[in-house]
Amino acid sequence: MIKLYSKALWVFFCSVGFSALTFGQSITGSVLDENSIPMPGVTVRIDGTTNGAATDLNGVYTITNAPVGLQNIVFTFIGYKSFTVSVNVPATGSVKADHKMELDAEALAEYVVVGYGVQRQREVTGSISKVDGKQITDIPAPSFEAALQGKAAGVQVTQGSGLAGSGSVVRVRGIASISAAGDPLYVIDGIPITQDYFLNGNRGAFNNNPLASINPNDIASIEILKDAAATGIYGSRGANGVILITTKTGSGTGWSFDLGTRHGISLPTARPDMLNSNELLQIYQEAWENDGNVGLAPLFGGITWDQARQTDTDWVDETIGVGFKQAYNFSAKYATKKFKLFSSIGYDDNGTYLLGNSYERTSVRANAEYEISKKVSITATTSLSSGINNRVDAAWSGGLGAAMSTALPYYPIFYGDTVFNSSGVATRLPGDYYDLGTNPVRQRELQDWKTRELRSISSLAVDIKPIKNMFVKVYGGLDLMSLKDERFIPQLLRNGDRTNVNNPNLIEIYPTLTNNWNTNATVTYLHDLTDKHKLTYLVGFEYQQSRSRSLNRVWREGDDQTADFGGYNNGLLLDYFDTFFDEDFLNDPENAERPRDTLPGFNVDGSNLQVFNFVSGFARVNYAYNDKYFAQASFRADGSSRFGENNRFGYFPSVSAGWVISEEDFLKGSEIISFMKIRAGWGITGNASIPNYQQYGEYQVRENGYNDETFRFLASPPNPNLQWETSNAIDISLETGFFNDRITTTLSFYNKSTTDVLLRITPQPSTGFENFWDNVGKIVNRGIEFQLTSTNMQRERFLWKTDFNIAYNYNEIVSIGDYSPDAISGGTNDTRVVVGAPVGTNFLVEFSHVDPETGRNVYLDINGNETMVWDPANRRAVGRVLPKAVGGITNTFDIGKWTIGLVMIYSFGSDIYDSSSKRQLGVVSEWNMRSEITDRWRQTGDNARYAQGSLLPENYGLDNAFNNNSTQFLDDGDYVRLRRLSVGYNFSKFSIGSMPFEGLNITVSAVNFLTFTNFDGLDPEIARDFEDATDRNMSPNITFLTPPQEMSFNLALNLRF
Amino acid sequence: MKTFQINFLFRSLFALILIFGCAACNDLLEQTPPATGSNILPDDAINTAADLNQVLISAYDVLANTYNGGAQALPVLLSDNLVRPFNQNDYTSVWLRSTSIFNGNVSNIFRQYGIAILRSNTVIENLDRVQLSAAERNSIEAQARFIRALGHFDCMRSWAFSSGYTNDDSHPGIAIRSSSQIVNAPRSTVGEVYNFILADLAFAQANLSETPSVFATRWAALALEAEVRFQRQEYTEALAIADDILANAPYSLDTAVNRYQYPQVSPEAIFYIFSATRSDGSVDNRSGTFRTNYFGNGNPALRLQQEFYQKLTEVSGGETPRGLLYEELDQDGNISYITHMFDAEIFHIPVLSLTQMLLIRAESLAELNQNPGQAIDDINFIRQRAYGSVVADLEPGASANQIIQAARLERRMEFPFNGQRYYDLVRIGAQGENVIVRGAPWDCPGMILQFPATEQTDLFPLNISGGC
Repeated sequence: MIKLYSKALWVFFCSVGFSALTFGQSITGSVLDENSIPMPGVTVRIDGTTNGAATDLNGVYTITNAPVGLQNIVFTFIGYKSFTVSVNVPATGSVKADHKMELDAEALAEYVVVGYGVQRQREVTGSISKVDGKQITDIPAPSFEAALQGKAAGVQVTQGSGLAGSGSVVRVRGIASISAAGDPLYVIDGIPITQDYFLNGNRGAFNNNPLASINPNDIASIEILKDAAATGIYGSRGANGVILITTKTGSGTGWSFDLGTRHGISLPTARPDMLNSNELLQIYQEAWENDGNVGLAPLFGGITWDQARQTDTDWVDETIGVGFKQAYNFSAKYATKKFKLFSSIGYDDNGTYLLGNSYERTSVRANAEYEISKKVSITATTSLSSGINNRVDAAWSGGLGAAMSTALPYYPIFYGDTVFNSSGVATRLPGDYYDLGTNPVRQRELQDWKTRELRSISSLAVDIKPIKNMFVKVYGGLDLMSLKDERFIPQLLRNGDRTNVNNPNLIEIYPTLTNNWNTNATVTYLHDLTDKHKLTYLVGFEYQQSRSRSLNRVWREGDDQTADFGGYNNGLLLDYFDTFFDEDFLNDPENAERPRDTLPGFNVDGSNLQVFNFVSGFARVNYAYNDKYFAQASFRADGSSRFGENNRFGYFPSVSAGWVISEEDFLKGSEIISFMKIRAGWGITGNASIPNYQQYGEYQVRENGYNDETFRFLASPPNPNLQWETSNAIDISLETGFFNDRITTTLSFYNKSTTDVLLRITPQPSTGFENFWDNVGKIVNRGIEFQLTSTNMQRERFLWKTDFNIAYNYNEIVSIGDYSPDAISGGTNDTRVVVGAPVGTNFLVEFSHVDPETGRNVYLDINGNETMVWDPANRRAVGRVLPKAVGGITNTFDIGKWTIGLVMIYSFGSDIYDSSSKRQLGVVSEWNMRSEITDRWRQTGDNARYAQGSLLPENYGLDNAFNNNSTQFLDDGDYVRLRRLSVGYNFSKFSIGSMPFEGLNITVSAVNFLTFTNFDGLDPEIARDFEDATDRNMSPNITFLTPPQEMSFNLALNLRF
Repeated sequence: MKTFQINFLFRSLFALILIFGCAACNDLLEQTPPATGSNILPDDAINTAADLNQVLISAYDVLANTYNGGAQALPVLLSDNLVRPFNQNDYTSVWLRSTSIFNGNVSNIFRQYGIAILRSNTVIENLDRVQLSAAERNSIEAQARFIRALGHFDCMRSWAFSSGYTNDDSHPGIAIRSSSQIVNAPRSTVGEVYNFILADLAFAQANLSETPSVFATRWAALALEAEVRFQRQEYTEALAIADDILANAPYSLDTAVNRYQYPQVSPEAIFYIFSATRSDGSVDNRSGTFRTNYFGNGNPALRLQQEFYQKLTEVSGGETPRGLLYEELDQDGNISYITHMFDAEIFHIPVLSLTQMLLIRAESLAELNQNPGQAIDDINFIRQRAYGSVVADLEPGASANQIIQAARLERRMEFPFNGQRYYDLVRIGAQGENVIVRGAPWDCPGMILQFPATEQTDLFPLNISGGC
């Protein structure tokens, strides 16, 4: 498609003729850039006239027919300071005027990337926050999105847990989705990337983070498009915000190099305080006796009381330690007039405090721009990165989660004696890992588990200027991703019993290949109606397709560990590229004739192909009057394979306007207000994050059914009306600069009303259906954002700057149709969808107190009366996972060559549900308990925090220990966190021998080292493992054995030459 | 120049509009699930009689995975046959009669009934899509309606109070599901649900084959109606059907006490879950939940009440075919009572059986004060089979009440693990007798199971949890 379209354009362009220029008395000269290299394309004009010219490839210009006499000549070029010089034009002949252009740093900073283009900040009529690359690499984080925390008003970033490579939850202006993914759309260098967090499901209590393999050091800037005026051009995918990532490009002159290293250590921000062996035995026996039993309580894991008394394993110590981090990045830039190159190579080994856990990323990138002629230039970007996640089990799956739950302190790590079976045969030898109860060390040490990701994101763009003021861009983007979850489980781990050879060594691989590409073509035309009235048109179309193939499980038994996953990974790179372009493999992997991918001796438990595409057309018109009034209208039509046949195309308009009040006479020249702009926008955007194929319904066929017969059944019903969610949003903002922009502020109000909210509904079970997708609900988000940047103090050797932002969001579910709060499938979360409450509402029975007379829990029923029975009919909306306000303050001090940075973030108005507490501080059971359980009822009159110990759920008024969901475990989620403190020293230009260096920075930093919170649990910043998109939308701030965040201390060096 | 620029702009726009408007766009957007593999679009799913039959098999398959001990366990736990389950949270709350909307086990079984009914409805709704003879069509529909009736009946027996709880059965039953449409259904009364069940059974009886099979037969539909009538205390109708089956059906009473058999199915099984030997030589073992619950290497989750164990083993010191199925287990001084009924690796699972027809006949005769000799013979056949002798026979002159009590006791002992005891307790209670089950009246709220959370709508009120 690209080829055909390009050819058609070329034919068209070739038919274009250009008028010739005539000469008379003239002004000529040459223009150099800041590096004294001839500079083409500079506009040189006689001031007050339209007579002018542009410099050619050699930087030379000639203005003909110049009026005789003294003339002011103006040199202008985007990003450079304009310059005026006077020349005396003779009656005949020519006069010479040369100039060396100077970079205009302020002007450069004023440009922001918008959808399908760039705009001057001044002209932008939508809400866009920009975060530059430096700010992203300031905070050591394995994944770039974590660094956005606290940097942009209205962008809530909840960092992933302490697990290596875990992803953050990013929300732009609240959340307007329930079952569809609520994440913003990520676009890297023009391609909406694969951003599925559930390609590996929730294996090992970890969701794969699709952003982790992107090297933060390659990012030049990130623009966060927040309102409909900014995201409208992304139509059905703009409703939850758009994050545009632009990677670096070459700049300057000639070669320049940058070498960065970072070394650090990782520690947990908090440490679980579990009972030791004696304490646990005491409470267990106490509970046993409280229940009316006599004698010693039977213990778990085949352990006798004598053995239990002699064992005291601190499983927390056995699963956490000090993690080591090291990162190396080397980048090179090269630039000439026509050619720009950026290339980098990076390695980041990000060990965490969880023993055995690290994320290693190796990445290379090359971005190049080449100006073929004045009218044609070509830009190519490509990257290849390899992410290897050395996995450990976490949360409910084991590891530290086990240490906080079912790994009991009276279990040993190793057997001390030989264990014989009833026939007298030795089944376990001294030194073997203990296996009759949970043993996270055994699990970690015996298995070999890696998730390997290989990813390449590339783009190619041809920019053509066929005629004056017209810019045509033809673009293609490709995002290839191979994800393999590989696990080696040795025989001893599978069986425990040495005599059992029924389950030999097992290799399991879960491979997924995703081939995601897009192409678009845009035509931009700058149409200056007069000097003051200026229009810019943009029209374009886009096509995107993503094909993703997963094999459910590829497995083979009997290999040994050294076989490198049975040769499966041999020829990895070749396989990688082969596979993406092999349609046979993508369509039918089990039967594809591909030598490297025939899986010798491997069993394949089925496969899954996911394909979706979007066909879109879009247009945008910008109007500017006198650099004072601005307006924009955009429109996008989106068709998607995900929409039902009755709703194939969605249409998304937006309009917005801005007024630079400070250009008006009554403010011009004000000493206080140096800049003031008011802007407002309205638009309709959508969210199309529906799983593929949901509109069709499905029958499934199975073999070996009743009577050994094949059978088929209706698994999900069709819904031909399925469509995107629709957000109708307005935004009003005031941008102000004070005291010559020493203080700048932005104040925004927004209201977003989302209808047709996609819900994955659990219908009445008597229908026989488990769930189905429908557009049912309505959600409102409204809020205020405030951002302030201030240069507080500026002296010769001292500079203090503050960036402050805070955003308040009101979120309410207005409707969920006729469904009950329990009807929205939310994975394992303990939150519900409640009308009148925000997305992610804690819907719990209210806990009152522990009765001093009986030691039993007292709850409140729906009418507020006390009851000793926990009844789900008494659940109420009692908490919210979504904070009311989030933000950050960054203070930067430059003292001579020293730089001190302090980043503080805060989150107010949310609650945390500590779901693990219901077992750690609830029914005495096969779980270890937390030390707070010492505050339990023991005798009449005790005013205790926790009930009398019992092994019976009914003694807590419960029907099941796991249903112990009450406000007893709901906590205040407010926190203020010192995210980063850094101290750096900058060495300016220096030489070692004959080798000159541009500069060297040395920075030490501490991350997450201080947190202020009322939360009783581990860490108040919680993004647990999620089951699906609904869970991800509704369950941040729910912790279930979730590893706490990491605290890290780092030393970074950056050398430029 | 300017004219040219505007022309170019319009021509570009026109080209783009052509691209957007192209007919191929719709084709581009047709991304159906991959045709290979096990997933089929609904439009392509049912084209032949074989396809439709596969849908019918899917309904049987649900029954097979539900009546594998999982469905039966719930009414057994509500009865007085078992002690508190060992280390089984979901089962414990059933036993404690305090199931909540979040009881996974209870919700799952409820859901399975819904799936069996959905698949039956899918069969019925798609009959017109394939070429079938009238007889084939009627047979397929009759089987689907039998499964639909069975699903509604067994679901209602545990999630709603028994027929007779109110005089006109106007008390809340369950949702009637007669189509595959996803609609919020109201909670029908017990009487309405029974009318729906009986209409399905009438159709099934008129159109099913009489030849014994692993699938539903006319005899199965009749036996199910006998159960329905008996549960509703319609003893005249129950008696007539049981008599018909006992006289005319091609089944014979088993000589063995344990009728969970393999590879032959018990000769008295009228409808049963069949464990197939598969083409690859492996066995389709449908008895998993029975084994999980009761076998457990001598450490089963579900164990008998001492009182019940003593009844089962009181004759001849327990050295009887019946008594030998049970054992007293002493684990470090902790005494428990277990069964060996489910020790086999694999067995077929009778759902409707001739022994039940015999006991329905005996009790109905006594309730109607008819033919005590026949009733006593029926009881004594069962006792002689259980004890291997006449030692426990009813006397020839036994009163109607003695016959009724004997029939109830035998039903409890013949079917200790399939819910019959619970169904009897609530039936007897509903007909006015004072029934106390493990210290609580038969009609305390928790004696019926709670629905899953999402069954509740404005039209569908939940049961009351607990309260026993």
